[in-house]
Amino acid sequence: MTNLEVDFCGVKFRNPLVLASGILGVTGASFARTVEKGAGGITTKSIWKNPHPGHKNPTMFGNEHYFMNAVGLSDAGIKKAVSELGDYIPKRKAPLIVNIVGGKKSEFGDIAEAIDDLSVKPDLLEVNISCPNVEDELGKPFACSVSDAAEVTKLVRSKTQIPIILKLSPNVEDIVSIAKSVEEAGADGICAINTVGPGMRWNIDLRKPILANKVGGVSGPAIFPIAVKCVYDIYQAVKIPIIATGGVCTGRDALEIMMAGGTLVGVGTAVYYDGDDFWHKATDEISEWLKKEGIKNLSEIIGLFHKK
Amino acid sequence: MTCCSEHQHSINTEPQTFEITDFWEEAKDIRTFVFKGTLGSKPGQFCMLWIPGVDEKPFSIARDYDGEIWLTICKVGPATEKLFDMSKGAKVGMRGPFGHGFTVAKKKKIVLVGGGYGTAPLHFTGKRHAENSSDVTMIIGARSADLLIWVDQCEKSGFRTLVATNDGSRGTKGFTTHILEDLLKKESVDLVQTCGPEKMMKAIAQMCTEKGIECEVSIERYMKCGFGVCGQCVTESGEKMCQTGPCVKAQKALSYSDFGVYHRGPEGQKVEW
Repeated sequence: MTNLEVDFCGVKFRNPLVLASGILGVTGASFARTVEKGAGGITTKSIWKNPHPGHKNPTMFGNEHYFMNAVGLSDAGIKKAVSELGDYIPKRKAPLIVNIVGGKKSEFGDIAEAIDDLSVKPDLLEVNISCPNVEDELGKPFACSVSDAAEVTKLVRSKTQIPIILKLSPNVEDIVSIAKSVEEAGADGICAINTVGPGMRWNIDLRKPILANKVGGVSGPAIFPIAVKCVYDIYQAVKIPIIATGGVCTGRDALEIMMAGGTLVGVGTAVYYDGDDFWHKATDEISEWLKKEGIKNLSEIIGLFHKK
Repeated sequence: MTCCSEHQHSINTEPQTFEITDFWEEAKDIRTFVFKGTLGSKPGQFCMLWIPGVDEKPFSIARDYDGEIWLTICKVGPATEKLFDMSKGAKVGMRGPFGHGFTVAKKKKIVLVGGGYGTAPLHFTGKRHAENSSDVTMIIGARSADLLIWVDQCEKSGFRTLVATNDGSRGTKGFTTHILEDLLKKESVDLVQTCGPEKMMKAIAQMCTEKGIECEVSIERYMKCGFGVCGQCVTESGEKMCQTGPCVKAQKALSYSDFGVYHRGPEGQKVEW
């Protein structure tokens, strides 16, 4: 029997595949179902302090190469989140990562405080400073600046004892320096990467951009090489663990990005291609590969590409 | 990479361009629009209709054969208002078909119950049943006679068509559920399928389940993507209504604690029916 368990910031995951933020993450019922289908953990949609409507439709589409979205972080705000999470967390059968977002830096602190007040706390807190789809509204993401990223990290750190993970953007000159700055500022982990771009696609008959927001983050198979490179580079530079996210569509993809340095593997767009079947298919593929290679514990492969 | 094993959407969900070739009034603020082409839809499935520059919304498919797609649409907001301003020849985007439609199987006697603009997909459904040599009865309801839709087409297609209006301005005064209840007392029915207000469908689901009659309902939930990614349309069972639904068996629908009670708005908040 191969052991797929991994430890991330002291939290045990039965397998490393976690649902990434923004996919199927609206309700507790949806989290429970995804765990039942085999996910090792769940990340919620980004939670705002106040209700946030998000963008008009179309907000997403995909093809065989990539997926694009500009949902614009729609959410009913912290009040709804607290009630939904209050019901779900005590009953959870796999670790829950709560993802939070803010327009102003202070809002990150306010939401972290509200989450910290829950009687049963989530396992991890993921801080989204890297969404590329709300630039018109909020300006450049905080993940694009070493000092902004560190400031948000410090603020959230001061408001909660829950381990915090900073979700970084690949759309920067030097993701490694951002990773180092959040580590120094007190982050317990890093999630890399958020979607790439933003990109743009048009319908030529209608002469209109397909996404209502005109631009949107690119995910899916096309960005997998970028994710692997970012995770590889960050792993070399920091000591804190990484949730490796970006275009993972198969069990072999998951193994590759773990060897590049991911402890957990975030999965989003694969749900578009494979639906609920993804989880079991991928974990079966991982188990079989480990068996074939004679590796008993999956955690042994984390960062394997860096070993001389 | 393998794809789309269990669910119905194609690997490419970029909207395709369709031209409006015709439209007519069904009732006040309700029009049927005709688009040239096909999505290859089954009755009970839905599509996402993109009004460029405004919004994209889900609509049940009222017909998809003979090279035409029909959508019966009520003017309720900015997207549909813009659509109602469009002329023949105007182009829109469409993608689909999405979701799980109504079962079409060899059954002797089938009753289809439509409430309000929920009636829209039922003629298409009835037509497929009739092709299977099933005996089709339509029960169509609305608040008043001027809001009834698809009644004439159903009659023309040879379906026995029974009408209920809340104010009695046409057909039986009362609800579709009253007509169905009476009918089930007198006749032996093999399958009931319904689309309309959720409270109506819940009453029908309960009625049929008690009598041991096979029944399917079409559950409407707020949809953002339509193909199983956003999680906006998930019921309290955790099932996505854009894939498991919209058409589900009555027993399954009755097991959802939110069925007939509440749905969720654009930001995921609970909204009571």
